[in-house]
Amino acid sequence: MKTFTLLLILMCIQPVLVAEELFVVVSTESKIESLSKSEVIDLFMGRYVTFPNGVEAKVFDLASKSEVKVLFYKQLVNRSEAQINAYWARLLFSGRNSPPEETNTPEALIAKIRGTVQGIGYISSEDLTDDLKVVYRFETF
Amino acid sequence: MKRFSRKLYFKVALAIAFGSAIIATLSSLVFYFNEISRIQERARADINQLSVMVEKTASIAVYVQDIELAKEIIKGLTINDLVSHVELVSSSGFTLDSGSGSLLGLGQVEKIKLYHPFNENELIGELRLLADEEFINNNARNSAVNQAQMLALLTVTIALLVSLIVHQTLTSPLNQITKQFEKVEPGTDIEILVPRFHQGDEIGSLAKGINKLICSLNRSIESERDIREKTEVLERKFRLIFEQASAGICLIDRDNLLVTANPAFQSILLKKDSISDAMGLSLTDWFHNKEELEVFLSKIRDNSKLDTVALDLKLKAIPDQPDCWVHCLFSKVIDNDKESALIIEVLMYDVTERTEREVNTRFEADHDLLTHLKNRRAGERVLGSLIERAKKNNEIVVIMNIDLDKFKIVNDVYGHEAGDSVLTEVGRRLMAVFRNDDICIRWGGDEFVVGCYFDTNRLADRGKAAIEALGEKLVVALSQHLSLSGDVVIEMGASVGISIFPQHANDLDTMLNVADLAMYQSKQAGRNQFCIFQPELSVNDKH
Repeated sequence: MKTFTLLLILMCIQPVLVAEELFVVVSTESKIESLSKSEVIDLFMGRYVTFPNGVEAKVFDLASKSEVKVLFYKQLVNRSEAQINAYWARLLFSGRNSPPEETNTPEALIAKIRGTVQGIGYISSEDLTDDLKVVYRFETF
Repeated sequence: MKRFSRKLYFKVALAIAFGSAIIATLSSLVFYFNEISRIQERARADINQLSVMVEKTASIAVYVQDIELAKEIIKGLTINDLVSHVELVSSSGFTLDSGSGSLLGLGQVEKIKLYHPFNENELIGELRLLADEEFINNNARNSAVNQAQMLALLTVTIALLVSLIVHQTLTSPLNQITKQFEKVEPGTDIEILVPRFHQGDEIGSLAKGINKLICSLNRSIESERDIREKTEVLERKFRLIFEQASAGICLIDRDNLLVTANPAFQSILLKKDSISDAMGLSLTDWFHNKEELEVFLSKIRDNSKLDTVALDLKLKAIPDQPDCWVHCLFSKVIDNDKESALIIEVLMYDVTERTEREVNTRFEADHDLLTHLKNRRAGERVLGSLIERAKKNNEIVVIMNIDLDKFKIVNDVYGHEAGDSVLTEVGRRLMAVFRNDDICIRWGGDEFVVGCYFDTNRLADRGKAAIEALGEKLVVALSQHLSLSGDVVIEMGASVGISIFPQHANDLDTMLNVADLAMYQSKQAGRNQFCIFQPELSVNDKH
């Protein structure tokens, strides 16, 4: 019964969630082929500053007020943008960790990744181009 | 101090202080331990709250391996008094502490598990806090001691207050009443004042009750006194009657011993002995027929119908004193008390004079006044009973008819006085010759009759000789001359006739006749001799 109710709720919210599919991408020149979700979380939330293969990573984020950013963090760690900001505010205190570099538009973000071998960022599926390598895609429900 | 310690309010205060001290001690102890555990509990809760407060930040610091942030957290926590040491452990590598090494193994360590900030299922570290037990315990102890002191103070205050209240409201008015009560003497009208403000309560009713009691006590004392006075008057009257009574009064107990006696009793019975000496002696000892009286008294006691019995009793003879007679009234004293039911009251009058008079009267009736011998009337009666007795007992009765010789001449020659002297002398000589229980009678004029008895078996061998000897003795005695005043000597003599029962006759009249006949035989034979009746002679005479 409980499972059934949960299923019902998930079916209701599905159309919103799958309106846009998000991909985590790197430059095609990057040696990284794919990442797990937790590896993506560790990079984006500042735990590690390197890829699993030891290569230093450069994380790009979208500026605030972006629907894609909201969706990304919702899907990645189930947090709102305000919660993410609060998270970074705590870490900023020690000065050791810093949030990902923000770009104003998805196009600017894509351009940054293209120009940076160790760059990593997220895009909407519509914006995927050939010179970007998808290393993680969010599971569709 | 000792006096003080006896006071009621002190005792009450002491009891309350003692009781409340025990209660205060016990409650302080309970409170102390409760307080300690409560404060420890609260400290633990506070520590828990602290750790929950920093949990999020700590897990982030552990997640991103931010040592600066971790140090900041530890510093913040150790500022709190409740926390003595903090340790932050990351499962991926680093461990930070507040300087005392690992807290593992120490008591009172609060452990908070730290999870991945974005994956609640992944354990990434642990936050450990060591409570400052000394501080907590000190806190608890101080609080408990404060509380105990407050309780002790409260106890002392309450004890003082209660003793003051008890003194004011209870013992002080009670004291007043007690002091007044001590002054109360039975018989005097002293009223105990009801203490102020206590009119309506128990102390007031106590005072009123005491007053009521004193009042009724006084009344009963007065009535008691009245009764006693009346009783004394009555007792005096009765005592007067008892003391002044002409009748001797005494009480004797079940053993006939004297219990009490009055002065008249003393004068009748005791003569010169005092009453007090006679108490406890037996009443019967004073009487002539002691044994009979004892039997009689026991009969009175046993017989419920006999209440009062009157008796004339002769007192025991005292040498050289005339016989005394007392008229006694014996009455059983009826009393509810069974023990005293056997007491007999004896009322006695001295009737010696009356009895003597009675004896004299009877003597005069039965005797000849001149000779003091029995007169004919009494003599005949006694002889009759002598014959009757002889018939029953097979005895022999001898009747002697005595006629003085020539008495008429004495009367004529010497006068009647000389005649009377002769008759008196005859009486005296008869009494001398015969035994006491022989019957000597003046039959009339100069004629006398004597009756005496002999045993039957003795008649057979020497009875006749004895009779003859007696006859001879009589004749000799009567034939002695009598000297009168004025040198007058009178020649005396008597003729005696003897009849024997049952040999000569079976009845008194015949016996008398037969003796008369025999006397005539003596006269015919020449006077101054005796003659035993001979039937053949008398037959001859008759012819």
